Amino acid sequence: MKQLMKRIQDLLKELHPLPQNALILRMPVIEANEGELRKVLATINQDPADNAIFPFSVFSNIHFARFLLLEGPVLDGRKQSETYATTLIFIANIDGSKTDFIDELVKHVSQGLDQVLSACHGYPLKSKRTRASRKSFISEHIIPSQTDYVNTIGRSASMIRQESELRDALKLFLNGIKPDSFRSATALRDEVIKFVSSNPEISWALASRAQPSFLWRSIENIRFAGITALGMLILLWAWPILAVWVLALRMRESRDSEDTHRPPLERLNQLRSTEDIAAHNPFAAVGYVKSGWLRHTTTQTLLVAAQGVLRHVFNKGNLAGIPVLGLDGVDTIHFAHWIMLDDGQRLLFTSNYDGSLESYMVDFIDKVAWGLNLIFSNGEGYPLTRWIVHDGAKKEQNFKDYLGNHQIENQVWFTAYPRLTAVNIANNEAIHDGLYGHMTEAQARAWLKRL
Amino acid sequence: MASTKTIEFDDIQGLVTRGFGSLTAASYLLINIIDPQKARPWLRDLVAQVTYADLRPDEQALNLAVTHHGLAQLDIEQAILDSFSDEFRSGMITPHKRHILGDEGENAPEHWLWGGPATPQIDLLLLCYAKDANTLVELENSLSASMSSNGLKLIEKLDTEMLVDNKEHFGFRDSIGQPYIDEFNRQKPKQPDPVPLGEFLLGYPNGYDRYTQRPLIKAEQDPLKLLNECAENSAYHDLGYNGTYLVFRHLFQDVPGFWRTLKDLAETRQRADENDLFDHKQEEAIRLASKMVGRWPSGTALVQSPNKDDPNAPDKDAFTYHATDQDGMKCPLGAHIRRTNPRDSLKPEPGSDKSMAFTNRHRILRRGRAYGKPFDPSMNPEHFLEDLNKEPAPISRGLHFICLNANIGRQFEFVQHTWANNPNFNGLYQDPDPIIGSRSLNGSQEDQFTIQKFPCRDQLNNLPSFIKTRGGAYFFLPSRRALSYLFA
Repeated sequence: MKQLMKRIQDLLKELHPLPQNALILRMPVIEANEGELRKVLATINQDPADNAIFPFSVFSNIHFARFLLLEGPVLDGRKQSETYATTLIFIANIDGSKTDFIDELVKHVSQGLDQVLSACHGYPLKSKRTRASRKSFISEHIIPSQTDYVNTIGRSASMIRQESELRDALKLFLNGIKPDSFRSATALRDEVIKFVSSNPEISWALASRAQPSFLWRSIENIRFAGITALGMLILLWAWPILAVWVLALRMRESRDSEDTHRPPLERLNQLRSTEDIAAHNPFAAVGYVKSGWLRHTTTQTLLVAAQGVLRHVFNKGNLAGIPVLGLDGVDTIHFAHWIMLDDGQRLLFTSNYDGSLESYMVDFIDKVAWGLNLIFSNGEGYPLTRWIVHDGAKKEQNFKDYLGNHQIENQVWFTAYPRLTAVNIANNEAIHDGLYGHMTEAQARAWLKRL
Repeated sequence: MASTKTIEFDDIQGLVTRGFGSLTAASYLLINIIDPQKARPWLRDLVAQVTYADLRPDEQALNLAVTHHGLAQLDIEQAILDSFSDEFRSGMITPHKRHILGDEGENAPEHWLWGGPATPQIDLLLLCYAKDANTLVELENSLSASMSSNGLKLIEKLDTEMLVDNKEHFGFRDSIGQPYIDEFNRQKPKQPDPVPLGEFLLGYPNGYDRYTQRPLIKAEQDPLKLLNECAENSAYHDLGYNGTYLVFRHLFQDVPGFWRTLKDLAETRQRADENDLFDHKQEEAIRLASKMVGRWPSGTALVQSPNKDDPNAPDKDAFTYHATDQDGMKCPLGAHIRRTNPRDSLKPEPGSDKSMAFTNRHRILRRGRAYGKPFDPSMNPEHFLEDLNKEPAPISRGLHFICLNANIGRQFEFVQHTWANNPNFNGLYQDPDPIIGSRSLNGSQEDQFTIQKFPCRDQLNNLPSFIKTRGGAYFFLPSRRALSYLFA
């Protein structure tokens, strides 16, 4: 039954694919090979884009990619379905489907795959390494994520790069003319458009951007309507259960314990030593879900609900901003994933965010603490919450310490556009969009401010 | 929140509440502890000599700060050493700190005059202030004469210079936009948007209405009860209470280089516009420099007077950005003062109290002083521009930048990294702070400055660096009680 459901889900996903996807793999590492694997990953990380082993820049459809070594879980009396030692996690944010991307991987970096993945259990032996055998190894190790956040659904990596080139070209153009000699904003805009059309390298920008098909958008809307209706029904019919549930959580959270120890300084400095090498940073943290049926079910349910909201509501660059409720969003996150591991015992969170960790934490505390609390308050040691959404991340020092205790290092991290923030990318897109169609003087003024 | 009455100003070092501006002579003594046994009694005596915030000295003043290494040198217990903040414990020159603070390449600590890996360890900082040069020399002598016989070594004496009209060396009035702290305002009418005291003193509620991480020690480790009880947990005594962290950056300023660059930029601009026969190079250079700073040389903000300097603006700190200059048409989005104190201009909800509260969690109290002879005693940029080649060799001048904050990571480092050095600040692309920002990041040049205007922005490219880091360290500025405890 479970298998059938999964088949149906996969089929639906194939019929109505999302433009961006994440390939997430988890592969148990052979203990004896871990040392060597760490060395190989360190070599790759010296130049993730163009290293000889696994040059990520050959894939024009990758946004971000990472390898990280995950330890545990620790036995400690927990229910155990499988015994893991260290596992290797691979996450790539890509345009297009996972299967196409796996094809590309085995086609272009087969030797790199061999060097890295042969450190893992079950990787085909040398004599048996073919495209097909590598592919099936990769496919077998795909793990699902429960919730994904995409800054802007449908914005491809190549479009991001192209629009960045467009902006660079316009910048040089404007630096070379005397904008003051233009009487109006529309006149200057016309001159910019003239320049674009006369320049074959960027004249593509005069055509409007490829939009998802009407059918795709319709299905998306129907899906959203369906989910909303389902949510409303649950609220209407099951509100007494929800109320009891919330009360039960409230009682539990007052008895929970929170981590109060500070992370060791050496650990923090080690984590920091790999950060701030681009306009954005990779974040990864892992922790145990509080024990018991209530917490596990809450986590799973909230992640499912979050998935619906992130996909259908917060899909245009502003995470969790709800002006009507006075909630401020975050516009600095490119991609994020919530991944349940080890039969729901652990949660791995990864993201790619702009700026420093300090500013990321500040955003969490200042702007989206409630959203973080909803999900992460189910994690062991999380700063205590009140009524699930209050306190928690708002307790600055406890929260920063909690993150410091749970953050893990990425052994390899690749970004396809290291100098662009999400705000820059959105601005470049708006610059592109302003090249066609009629504009009033006021609109042209506003558009020119983006250049 | 604590009211003024309950604050024990005689427990707080004077520098927290005032910069001792009327004491025009000042110097900073950097000291190494060689023999802690001998040093302790000497330091204990010094606790009584230190100037606390209850007094307004008119002769001389003395304040005392200590590095983490200094505390270790004094044989303070490891558990206590570990209870200080991460930034203070790590120091300023870890690989990551160098990176985020911009101390790489020419600015690397290897080239520093002090505080770097190649120079002697700094343990103590004595901040000396006096009403005139003679009094200062007397104070310095009285301190340094007994140092060597008491297990201390003077590593460096940093002199300071009071410039005309409170200016810094480039010729702009400095020290205007200081954070407003209600508790320190004893006479004047209250101002809006106070920064909570806990942002600048440990042991008080901070901008989140919580206590900043600070050194707490078990009550039994303080049997003489020299320290106050911790406000949150009486099992602990608060070593941080009424103390704060002091950030010291020794910054060289290339004054002729700065004005030469601006003069060149002004000239290119003039050539580009052939119709412009009026020779206003000088004026244009000063205008561009003011765009970079966000203030005119007199200190009047561009938001207050966008087109020309107006030295008579009554309160040069009384302005916000969002309502009057949302798009940076008056004060560029990347100007120095707009990034180091964005007021109400950033998210969340620019123009709102929320935005102001956000900025207020990233403020610093500046207490530094200039050093080195001025390029021209008038401190007037117009006179600077008359002859930029009058100095055959670069003269050592700049700023002994000193700031106080309770959380170095969220305050000083955040301002320096996330606001000043960040080329993507506020939607920009390759624009670091034009005055203090690092010009290269992760191997690429980030050296633009964008001036928003109609119909389209103006952009300065290939801006060189005008500032070089020559030294620096993180210090702890303890309370009177904490000093007594640490030197007991």
